[in-house]
Parts: sequence; C-alpha cells; structure tokens
Amino acid sequence: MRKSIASKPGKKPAAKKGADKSATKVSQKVLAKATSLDALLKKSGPINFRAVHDAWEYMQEVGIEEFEYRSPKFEIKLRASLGLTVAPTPRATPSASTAGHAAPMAAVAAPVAAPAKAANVHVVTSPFVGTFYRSPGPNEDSFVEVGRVVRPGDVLCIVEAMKLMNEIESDASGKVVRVLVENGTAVEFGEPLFEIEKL
Amino acid sequence: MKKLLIANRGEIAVRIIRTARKLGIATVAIHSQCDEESLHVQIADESVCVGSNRAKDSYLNMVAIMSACELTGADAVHPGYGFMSENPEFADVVQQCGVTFVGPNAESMRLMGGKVGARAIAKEAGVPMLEGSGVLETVDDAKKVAEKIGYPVLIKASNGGGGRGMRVVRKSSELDQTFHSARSESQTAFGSPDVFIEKFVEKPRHIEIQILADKHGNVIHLGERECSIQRRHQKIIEEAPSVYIDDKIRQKMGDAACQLARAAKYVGVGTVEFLVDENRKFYFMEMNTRIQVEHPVTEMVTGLDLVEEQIRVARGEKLRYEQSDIKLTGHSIECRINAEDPYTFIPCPGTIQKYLAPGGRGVRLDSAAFAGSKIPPFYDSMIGKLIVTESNREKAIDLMLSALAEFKIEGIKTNIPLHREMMMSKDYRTNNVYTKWIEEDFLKSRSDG
Repeated sequence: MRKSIASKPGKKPAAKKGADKSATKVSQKVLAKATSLDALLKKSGPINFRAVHDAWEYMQEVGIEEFEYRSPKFEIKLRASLGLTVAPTPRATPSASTAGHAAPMAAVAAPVAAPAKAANVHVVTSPFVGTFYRSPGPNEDSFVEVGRVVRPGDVLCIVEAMKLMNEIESDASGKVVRVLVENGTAVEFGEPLFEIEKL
Repeated sequence: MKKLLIANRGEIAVRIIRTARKLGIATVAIHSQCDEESLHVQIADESVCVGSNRAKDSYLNMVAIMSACELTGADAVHPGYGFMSENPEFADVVQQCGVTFVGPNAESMRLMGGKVGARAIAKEAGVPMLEGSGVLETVDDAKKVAEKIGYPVLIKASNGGGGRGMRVVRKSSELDQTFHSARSESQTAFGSPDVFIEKFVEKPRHIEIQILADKHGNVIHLGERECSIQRRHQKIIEEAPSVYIDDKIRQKMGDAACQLARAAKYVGVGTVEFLVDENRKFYFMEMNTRIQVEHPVTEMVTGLDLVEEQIRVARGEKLRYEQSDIKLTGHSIECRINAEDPYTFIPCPGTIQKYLAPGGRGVRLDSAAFAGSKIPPFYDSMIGKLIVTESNREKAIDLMLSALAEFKIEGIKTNIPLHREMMMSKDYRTNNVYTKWIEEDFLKSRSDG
C-alpha cells in the first residue's frame, strides 16, 4: 500500500490535499500520528530530521513501502526496502511559500534547478512561466512517456504562456526517467520538468 | 482588488507587500533566480520565478510577468519604482490584460515622460520654468537659443533620466562640440538624439512636491522634499520639509504642481521636481510618474501611507483628504544605504555576514537586507533606506547620527561611514547645500584633510 501526503501550506491555501483519511484499516493511533506528522511537516518549512524520523516511524507502523511528501520548499521520499533514503529537494513552485532557508541538517541540500542526482542525469527545466502540458491537445497522447529515448530537438512538452503554446525541446540525448510535474500545473522559470538519463 | 503582483524586488517590494497585507490584499512576488531567497519572496503569499538574473530576463520581462499574473490570478500589478514603473507600454499591456495597474495611465506617462513634452505641458499650465527650447536639430539653432537665453546653458537629452545626458556650456566657443557629443551620447544611452537647451542655474537646490490625484479629478499635494544632497545626480539624502522655503513658497509650489498634474490628467501618486535658485525662485524640471524612493519622509511628516493611497486610487476610490487636511509635522531625514565603497563609490555586491539594524523611537528602516542575504551584481546597489523623524531638523540629524552609529553591516562595504561624515559636516547641518555640494565641496574638502 502506498500513501502520499501532498499539501501546499500558506496563508490562503488553494488546492490542498490533506492526509487521505479514508484509507482502509488504519488504526486510530496511526491516523493521529499521520495528522500530527502532517502538521509538523507543514510547520517545519525547510526539512528537519525530526520530521523525517517521524515519517519513517509512521511508515513502519502503517507498513508501507514508499512515503512521499511534497511542499513548495522541499520534497521527502522514503523507501522502506532501500533503508532510510532522504532526498530533500527544495522546490519553488508558483504557490504558497514558507519562510526560511534550507536547514543545515538536511541530508542533501540541493539547489532548485538541480536535485542531487547521478552525474549522468540531465534535468530539463522550464524556460518560461506558464502551464505545463504533456500532450499537444487535451485528448491526445503525451509527447513522451517515461522510458522513451529522446534526442536534442525532440519535443517533450508544452509550456503555455499567455495563450501561446511553447514547445519545449530536449537539449540532451537519453532516456526519459522521470516526469517531475503533473499535467496542467503552473510552472515557473527554471522549474525542473524532466529527468533524462544520458546514454 | 484581491491579489496584487509586485513587479519589482528589494526594499520597495517588501514595502508594497506590507501595505497590501494591511489592506487584506493577497500578494504575489516575482523574482529572478538569484533572488530566490530574498525577503520579498519570503514574505509574500505566493512567489513565481520569472527568469534568469539579468534584469531584462526577469524584472523587465513583460511576458513572464504577465504570465505569472495569469497563473496566480492576480488582478492588480504594482510596478514599484525603476524597472517598468514608467514604461507606458507595460502600463498598456497590464490594462489590456484586464489587470489593474497601480500607477498613472500610459497616456500620462507619455505626456510627462519626455522632458520637452513635459515642458510644453508645464508651459500651458502656467507653471514657472527655466527659459529653454524645444528639440534642437542643428548647431545653429542651438547657438541662437543659447544667445537668447544667455550663457551658461545646459544641453539636455529629452529622453534622459537618472541625471544622465546633461552638459553645461559656459561660452559659445564650447557649444559646437558639446552639442554634437550630447546628441550622440543621447542616442546611445536613450535611443534618441533629441536634445534641448535650458538656462543653467548655479548652485541650485532640488525641491520636489509630492502630489496625489484620484480618478475623480481631485488633486492635492503633500508638501515638499528637499533632495539637494546628490552625487552624479543620484540622490543620497532626502528630507521633509525643506527648511529653505517658507509656507508661502510651499503653497505656490504645491499649487503649481497640482496644476501640472491636472494638465497631465494624472492619476495616483507622482512627484513634480523643481530647481530652486539662490533667490528662492522655483522652476519646473520634470515630473516622475511613479512612487519614488524617498517617499517615506513625506509619509513620516504627513502621517499618510502613500502605497495605500496608490492602491485606493487604483481601486477607484475618492481621495479621503482635502488640501486643508494635509499638515506637515516634524522633520524627517532619509539616508540611502548603498552597497558601495564609502570613498571610491565602487559598488560592492556580495553576501551580508553580519547585520545589526538600528531601531527605536523615530527610527524606520525600509530594507530587504538581513544577515545572510545576498546583494547581487545585476541590480542597483541600494540595500535600504534609513529614515528618522523628530520634532525639528537638528534633533533629526542627531537621531540619524545615533541610528547610523548603531547600524553595523559586515560582509559588504556600505556608504554608512559617508552618511555619518555628511551628517556631522557644518554645511549639512546649516543646510548650506546644493545639488553639486557633495562633488564640489564635501568630497574635495574631505580629500584635502
């Protein structure tokens, strides 16, 4: 079972997804823990180890393999089978922002445009402020899927700015290994969009 | 107005966000990549990175900024000062996108933006001006005008600004060469070779009037600011009121400024700049169609929040004051704190390591700096404004000295030591200053001993 909590803290919360309280067979204690963990993560702004440790404990109690938490300033991904792997990824999105700098205790302090990754992974970032679309039109197939091999010049996505559809081309040769943004989300300049493993 | 996007950075962006919050308006900060950790980004409700570091890619990037507007659903844009605040194209674009522009409309900007055009409007409005000409195409035209006005004269670029594009000519033999180089400099710097001539005033003071106008035809003035302490035409110290003029002159200048604002169909907050000569005669110089850096000293002596007034006017509200409601109380001085060497004036970008800010009664600091903040090399070097207010000028100067002594910034150089010296100088204390005082008198005497 995989559980993910995503939220956008801020003074005027817009689209906010709280903990999925309708998950089946979750004990009251675990639920309470989820709620307090959510509050702690929201409050901590930049990542801190206490929050990470609590997330880890939570995973063990609930018995889940993967835990993912995304906020405008950082992202935590924990995977049980590989041990405690923390990848705090400071991420500025066009949404609510929290105060503070990346905490010195974060396992990996990564700048916005380049999450800590293997050297052969190239990150394609948005050159525009706009809305990210994976396909040329609403009912059409995505330009690329994970696993697709691309060359420089291949269109990966569209970023729509002021009603202008800008096709974003790959600037590297390789295999698309991750799509970092959801279809239809607002992206800012420099926002990481795709990870391409260079071949 | 539900959500305001601030198309600026640094201290003015922070300043605007604070007032928007006071009025219950949500805020959107836009920023370049290097400004990611800036104060204005941190305190806004939302933020959008609009481009890479160079101003043209970010703070001057109209498309990216309007896109950010669209994405965040902002219904108003505040341009601050500098950047695109006096760009009529930007004002037009914002309006065309159905977004409120917190500032004058594009037409007023165009009318008052070029100095020759502004002079024409001022003439029509009966505002006192220095003798001068329209755009001069040939040296012969220039010679005729100069002879008529009488030397010394000043050749000025019509599209000039920031104190650039001005050359003094003291005798007719100098005119030829100066005229030609002024034209080509103007072309290079401002994209147009248009120059005109104006009578040159020796040792002038720069005294400006703050005006406020609503969309219903009401115009008032909020008194003056004395801005004669300048270096290379950049203001360094400003104060309100000016002890050089009395109530009679103040009223005349204020009325003239309001006349001009009406003639320009001005809406919002604006400033009419005057030169005042040694006989206390005032002459129209130019109009700034934006909120100005030094607006806080006016706020401190009138009790108004000028950014609030801007927003109210933009929302279509009527002015809440009549001219008789405006009273100037006390004396306020502002020192612009720049990241530069206090002796060579070379800009000094970098990271602030230690930051101890002054405070206390009558001390106001408008700044986006903090310990650990970065001063990037891509924008201007002003990192904050220290404003003090007391019951009279002498006390204000002493309070400024005290506040400057408390103000400790390490990691970059600042002009704080320069301000301290100026505050302690006899000339400044006796207000024996003019626009070239720093360069001609103060700095020279400083290097002498």
